[in-house]
Amino acid sequence: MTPNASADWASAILGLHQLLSDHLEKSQPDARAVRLPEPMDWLQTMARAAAPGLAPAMTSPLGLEGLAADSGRDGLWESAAQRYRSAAFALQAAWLEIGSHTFDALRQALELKSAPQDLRGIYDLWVACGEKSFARQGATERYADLVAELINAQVSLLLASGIGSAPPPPDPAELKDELARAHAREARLRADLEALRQADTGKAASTKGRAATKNAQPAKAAKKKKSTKKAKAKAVPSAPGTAKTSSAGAASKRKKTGRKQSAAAKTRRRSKP
Amino acid sequence: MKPPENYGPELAALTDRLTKSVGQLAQMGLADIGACDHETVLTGEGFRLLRYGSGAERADQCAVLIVYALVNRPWVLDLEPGRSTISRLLGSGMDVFLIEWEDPQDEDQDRGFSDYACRMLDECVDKVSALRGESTVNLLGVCQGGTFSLCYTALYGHKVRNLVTMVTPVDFHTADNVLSKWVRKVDLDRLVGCYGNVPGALLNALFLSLQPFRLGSKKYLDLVDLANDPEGLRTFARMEHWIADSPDQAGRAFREFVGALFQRNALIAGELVLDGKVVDLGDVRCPVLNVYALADHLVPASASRALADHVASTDYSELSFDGGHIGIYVSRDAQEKVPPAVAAWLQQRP
Repeated sequence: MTPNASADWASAILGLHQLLSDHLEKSQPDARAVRLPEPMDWLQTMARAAAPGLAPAMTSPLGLEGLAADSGRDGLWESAAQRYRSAAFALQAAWLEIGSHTFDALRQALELKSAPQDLRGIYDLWVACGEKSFARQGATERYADLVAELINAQVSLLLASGIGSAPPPPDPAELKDELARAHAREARLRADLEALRQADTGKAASTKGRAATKNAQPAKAAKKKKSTKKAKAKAVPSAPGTAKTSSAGAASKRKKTGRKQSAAAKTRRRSKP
Repeated sequence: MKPPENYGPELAALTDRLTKSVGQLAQMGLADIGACDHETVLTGEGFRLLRYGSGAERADQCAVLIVYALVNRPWVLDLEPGRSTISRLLGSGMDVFLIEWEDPQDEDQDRGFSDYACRMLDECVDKVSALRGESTVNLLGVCQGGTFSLCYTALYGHKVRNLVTMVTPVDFHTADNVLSKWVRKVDLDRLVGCYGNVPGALLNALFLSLQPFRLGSKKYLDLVDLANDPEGLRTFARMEHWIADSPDQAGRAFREFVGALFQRNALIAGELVLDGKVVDLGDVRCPVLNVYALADHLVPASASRALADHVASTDYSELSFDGGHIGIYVSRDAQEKVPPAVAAWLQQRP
């Protein structure tokens, strides 16, 4: 397929996509059964951008026109608006990249002998290429940062616009939880330290070559022993809402042995040790 | 391959069928939802406890309490005749209870993770126990409700006979958990400060944006296949209604859940504190059936399967389903396989 022909295909797919959008758009006032998401915020922009790089929302992020026209705000608001603009454009750039990769992949797929011959099949192939491209990009740290930044920037803008209020100070219950978490962390670190000490003692008594292997084992054993002790000492718990804060020993990780492969829709049971 | 300009007739045919489908959908109005009779057996602060089915024979059947997520509505488990997990459980001889969380109002912003996973769940467990005259209950936790059920079982295991987790996230930091990566750097304090209760539509859009091509485009084009298929259109309408019907999330519970689990992976780290106590999965000792979907894009199978390495149960089983996060409740294949398997597993452990 020549580059020109692939550009024609891109137009054909876009035409079909536009047709679909028009139908859905027109149907909405009457088709109450179909409750498509409402265009209310930036996330909606993403949802509408079913074809990243192609949807109308791509050329103008939702709400940006209003922001640009809004004047007479203070410096804090201006700074928040600028942050939001930057975040929105950065994400747009990522979508454009996805859109571009999608068409590259589609072009290659259409060159195969097994390529679909009908328009519907080609549209489905474009969707499949798009999802693959999106999955690759969406799972990166970079993309995650872009999404998080856009959410944070939007929240900052809303707060600067007087919507909502700054976070409340932590309440005593949260501080209590935090304290319990700290106790748990401390207990776990102490247990690890103890295990390391024991391992160190064992190391001195063994050969150099075997020491490395033994190093990990006492740590596990110590953990397990601790768990068993804890289990034996455990009393029947109190009812929810009545318990007092208490620090707890950690050792939540217990390795299971004999994990078997699961078969589709077949239960499997772990044999009792 | 034909040049694009030769596809005119096909485009015209697609347009015609799409017009028909959308027109029929518009005329149809909102389709009824739910297949099973139920009654409210308890109304508490923030929830209702429902009991499905009828008849005295329920007392002799194996009971299960379904704990659904706060996100979306539980009626996806009872979508329509033929696509109802609850109906299948009833048909398999189960006495089915379900917790229906109430939408948080402005004054409920301070409702926390503990309120759901400990207080409310405990009230329901006690009520089911009292109604059944039994000292323990079977829990079936779905998605986030599965995480609640796990926490509850770890803390109050003496009240739980068997635990079934379905598409339940346990390890929130597995490599393929895209949603978790996206929200890890979100400033939750400011988000909740801004919104109060977090809008359901916001979360919904985030979920849809995980598969933007498929969920935002393809499924609507697939409507062309449903022209003159009223049943298919009704199912489509019910699913669309369900997807868009996302309740707001109580601000504090959202901040605590996302912060502790999505951001800090506290359940795995042994640092999750609820009701003043550290939740230790090693305290889960009852029989566990872990049900997960192999193509789940919201809760990857790896996030669910991590449970095997952390509970102390000697009777631990897994049931994998070759489908997605929603398909596991509503697909024909799932209907045939999952609820009967869950019922049988519970009935074998009286």
